[in-house]
Amino acid sequence: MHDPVGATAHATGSRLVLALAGLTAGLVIAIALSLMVGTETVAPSRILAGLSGECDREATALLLHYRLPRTAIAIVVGIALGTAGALMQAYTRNPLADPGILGVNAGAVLGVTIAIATGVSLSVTTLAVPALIGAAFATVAVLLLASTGRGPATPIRMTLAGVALGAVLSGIATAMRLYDPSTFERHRSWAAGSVAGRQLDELTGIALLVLTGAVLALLLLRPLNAVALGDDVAASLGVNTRRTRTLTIIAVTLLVGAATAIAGPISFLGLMVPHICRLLAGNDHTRIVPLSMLVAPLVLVLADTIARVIIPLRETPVGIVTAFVGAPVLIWLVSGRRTNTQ
Amino acid sequence: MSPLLSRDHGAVTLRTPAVSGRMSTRALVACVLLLAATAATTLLALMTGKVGYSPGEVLAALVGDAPADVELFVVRWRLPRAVAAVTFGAVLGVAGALFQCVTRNPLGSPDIIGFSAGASAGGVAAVTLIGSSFAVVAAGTLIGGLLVAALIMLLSRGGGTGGFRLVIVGIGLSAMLVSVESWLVLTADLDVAQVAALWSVGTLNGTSFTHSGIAMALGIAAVVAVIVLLSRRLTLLDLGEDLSGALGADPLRTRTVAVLAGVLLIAIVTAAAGPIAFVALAAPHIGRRLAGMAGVALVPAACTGAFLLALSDFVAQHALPGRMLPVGVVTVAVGGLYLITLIVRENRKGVL
Repeated sequence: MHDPVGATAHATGSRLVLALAGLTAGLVIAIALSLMVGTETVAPSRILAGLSGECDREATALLLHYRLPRTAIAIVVGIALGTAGALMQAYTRNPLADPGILGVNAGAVLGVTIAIATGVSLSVTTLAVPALIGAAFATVAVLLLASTGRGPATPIRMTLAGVALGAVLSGIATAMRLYDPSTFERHRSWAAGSVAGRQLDELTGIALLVLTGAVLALLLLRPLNAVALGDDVAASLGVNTRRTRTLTIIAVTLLVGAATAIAGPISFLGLMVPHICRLLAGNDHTRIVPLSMLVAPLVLVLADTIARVIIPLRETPVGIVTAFVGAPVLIWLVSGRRTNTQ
Repeated sequence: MSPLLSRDHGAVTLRTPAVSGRMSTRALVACVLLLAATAATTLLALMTGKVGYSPGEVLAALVGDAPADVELFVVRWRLPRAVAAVTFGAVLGVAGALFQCVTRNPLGSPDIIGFSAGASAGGVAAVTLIGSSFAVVAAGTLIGGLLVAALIMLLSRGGGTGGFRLVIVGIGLSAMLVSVESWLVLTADLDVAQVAALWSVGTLNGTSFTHSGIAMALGIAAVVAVIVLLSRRLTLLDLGEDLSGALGADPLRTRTVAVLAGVLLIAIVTAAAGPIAFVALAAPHIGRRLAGMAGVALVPAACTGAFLLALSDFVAQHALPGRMLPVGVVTVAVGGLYLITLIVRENRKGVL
């Protein structure tokens, strides 16, 4: 029988399987590259030997204490920010939504900055608490600010509200850093967004928070798809919109707060990844969100590898690389009339 | 022969061979009051500090009729800073009014759409790569500002009159520039990084006439030039592109000239004091509301900017005992709150 709809669904389905296979292979290659490439290149055979502990001490130290932690952190942070971006774009029906652009990163940074300045906590895991509080505050504030008008918030209204809020929050954080430069000297690269210089044991608590957020995001897929059709439609489909929205905010807060606590503010990853996924899988959140969990770590691990070698003998924080790749994506999105943003 | 100054229909008209202008009485009163408030704040700033003086002593020192120690404190140390606050405030106010007119968006201030970030990144590049003398930093900010302005205009071509694309392109470029800036600070030596980081917040601490005198003079000249030469064209542009073109003022040319002038103004202030945030955003709105004017209001914006920055700098000097904050911290906090109320109000009106 002729079944054009089913045929299309089947076609996208097989394309999706192909994309999934390709992305998984890409992620494996990216991880291998990330372990190999740097100031000193380590050959693949030495990596395998080093991971099993049967290699020269130098390579083992380099791998276990330096490259493995930062690769693992890049994966976790990537999952967190990609998922958060996809959730925010679905929730706000705004293709320009991103934790960096909407000021959520800045909120988390301010929370961490206050905690460091007051000497409350210095370990990464305890820093997650103020980061979560800051992220939650910024998320709620930007949504409230954007929704003060009549009707649903337009993308431009929300973007401006987020940029403004972010400017204020990061302005305050910068002032605090300047007020007490010696305390913040250790955090110079954190403030620019970096996955380097951390150890694996610092990742455990953060990974748990990200896992919680990611599971929550997966549970929210169907309700979010309904909410994307409009509140009335969602309600008539039996979706509790208020609960969906609250849970989404909680998930975004968990993901962004945890990622910022360990890696500082990394912008634009959450913006570009969902768009890449949309190209691969169409405009369906049940596919975009899980795909983002695969694409975002791939992009971030690659970006971090590039950040290591782009300027010889100098570390570039990965946040700078993502801004340089992601900001053009933002400009492309508004200049090509690809999205109905107004 | 018509009189130099005349009053009619609630407005004051000034006519001279070189310039002529018309302003509503309410706007004039508002501007005079703002200037009086600015003068009072400046006097207060000159009086207070580690050593306090009476208004009489300050005035005597200003006319060169006071003991050497009073003159040292008031004229050498406090006056440059006070003059800089007033001048740069006026410059920022006018720059903000220009950009808001071009973007036709109340939020289209240079702080949000990336022009300030361009000037700031240029300045930080100059400080970290070459040195922190005024000429070098000024060149850096100007080049940075112009490059970014050109890029923003180029990338947002065809974005229509709403200025929407302009704003988003600006936000994107701004983010890239901020990351360039933080990379420069990160890779620089610690002491250079401290200088660059402090500068990048915007501060009037340590202002002197020898270092920033040129910037102040240039700023005043540029503000006067913009008000005299551009007011009428901008008012026409504000009526709409078609109408402006029909009345003989090519909208594209007006926009281009206004953006160039705005970038120049921002670069002057940024070179001397770093990027002082949000004055350019808040001053035009507050000025327009106080003056009861619709559309472009350059003179009220200048007066409001001068008052805002003078007041902010006074607060920055005295908010924490024994410690001088960079004025940029105060303007971020105050301007940020203003911005939030602005967004709420614009939303209620459904403008955005």
